Amino acid sequence: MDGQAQGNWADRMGSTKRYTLIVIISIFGIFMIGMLAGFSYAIYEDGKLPTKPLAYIIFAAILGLASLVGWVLATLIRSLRHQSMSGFDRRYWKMWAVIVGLSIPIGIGFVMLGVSDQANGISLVLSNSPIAPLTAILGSLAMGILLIASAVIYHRTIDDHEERAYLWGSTIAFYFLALAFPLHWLLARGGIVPVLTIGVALLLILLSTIVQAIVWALFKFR
Amino acid sequence: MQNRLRLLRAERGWSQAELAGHLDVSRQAVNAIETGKYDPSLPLAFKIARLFDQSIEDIFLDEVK
Repeated sequence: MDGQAQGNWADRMGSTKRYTLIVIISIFGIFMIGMLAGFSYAIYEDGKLPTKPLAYIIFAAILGLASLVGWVLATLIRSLRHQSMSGFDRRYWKMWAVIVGLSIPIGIGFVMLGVSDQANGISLVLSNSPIAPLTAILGSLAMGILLIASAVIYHRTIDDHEERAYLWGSTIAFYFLALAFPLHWLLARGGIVPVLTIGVALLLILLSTIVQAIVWALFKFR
Repeated sequence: MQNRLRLLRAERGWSQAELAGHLDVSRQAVNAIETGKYDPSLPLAFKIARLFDQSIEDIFLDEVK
């Protein structure tokens, strides 16, 4: 097959060694999931996000380690199944890794911006309360860079079939928005639903992205 | 659109994943073409024709005819 990975580190190991490693790494992976769950639960129990940057650095380190564990496990399992990825699959999964890799530090930076702005961290994105101009500019830059970079990387990597799934998803999501906003406006004037606020508008946009994802998945995996 | 892709692939003993590897597309794309749920773009149709050393009309059947 074109572009197959031949003889990577996992392929050069004996199968007994690979099975043993899979068991050990799986146990380590479960431990990592436990740590992430514990960290999240501690935040939930505390009722507010930690204010010290060290907490986010530790969280990012755990996430990075968990990703590494996932990659090692996937490579070992794939080598056991004697299936190497095609050139396209390798590029495709690398693309998702880059997008997730970009999202995690930007997401953590976003939360830290909110914390430093005394806006209770996550309320930077889930609230309409005023924030400092610098926080607003940095947050907008982070969001813009992430969205544009992800879109460029994604569209340069996917094949025709997925491009069509994406375009149909986007079209239906646009129809959803084009219908949802005027409907809400009319219903609000009739006193049936609350007046459109920026919160409701953002919720409708969020719903349109969910519609986009559902249609995309239907076209890609049907 | 109907096509002979599944047949041509079977003649070479390739899996969908292997054919996808040759065409540099996803396995889902090959499956969607074979089941007639997706008509490939012209560049991909030419790529398929080149791979099997046949013309596009020999692989993709014009249902109007």
